[in-house]
Amino acid sequence: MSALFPQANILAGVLVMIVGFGFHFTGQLISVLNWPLAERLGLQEANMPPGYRAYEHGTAMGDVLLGWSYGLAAVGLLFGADWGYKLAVLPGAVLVYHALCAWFWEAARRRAGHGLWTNRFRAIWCGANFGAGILTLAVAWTGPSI
Amino acid sequence: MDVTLWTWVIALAGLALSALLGSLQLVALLRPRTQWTVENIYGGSPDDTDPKAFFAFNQGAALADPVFWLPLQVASSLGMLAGAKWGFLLALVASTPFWYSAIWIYVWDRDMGVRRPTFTYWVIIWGMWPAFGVIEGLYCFFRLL
Repeated sequence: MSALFPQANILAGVLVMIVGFGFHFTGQLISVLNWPLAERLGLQEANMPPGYRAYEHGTAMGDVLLGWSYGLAAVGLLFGADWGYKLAVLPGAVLVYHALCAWFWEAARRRAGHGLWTNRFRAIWCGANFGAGILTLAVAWTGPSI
Repeated sequence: MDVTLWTWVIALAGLALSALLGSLQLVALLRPRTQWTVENIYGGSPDDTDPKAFFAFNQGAALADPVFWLPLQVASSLGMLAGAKWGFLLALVASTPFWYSAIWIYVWDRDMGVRRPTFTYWVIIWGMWPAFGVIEGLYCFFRLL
């Protein structure tokens, strides 16, 4: 199948490296290892009610256990490797799924009177995840052996 | 692409699990705070944690699954059975939330004391979802190579 656009794999690789490996893996690894540090760095909301912590910790563990593969997928995409396009399906799917879950979680939190994000942050975070995920899936879809 | 016995098994299992999850999440959306929903869909009790957090996170997943995950799994199962390459690729995408979400639930259930040392909990409630996701993902990955 023909490429989505010239250098699409490079753009997707960079986005997966930043949004997927950088924020999801590295950011959540800090959260799992040292929650107070993650709060000081702004990776976790310092004003988070204690009841939310078990849920956020679970999400962080999921990102850490899976997120290392995003770096590998990003490298594969940057080099245009066939396996990289296949592996890129993982971060692509997770970033889209995470964007939707995060958007709906915040909506539910606001309904409960516990909104944690500003409108601006919600739009940027969910938009970045959704955009990077859709682009990555599209690039994977048009990979060399598909 | 060739449609083998394994293709049928995985595609039909994907449809069955989607139907089960879709039905449960539909109930969660329509009756989000009933005792039956809490006991049979969310698991645990809102009183074990912050009730607002309990409902917020469970309702978030109840909305995200019908929007993204379930249509993807249904479309991919049909595509696989049609022998279309896109079906296998979609199934690779759809396999990911099966085990990604299982990691959160593993931690949530541990931290909130929801786990029970029973076959029903470890196989039906938790284990069969990531197991299917891993099998579907590996199968599609190698079929696409």
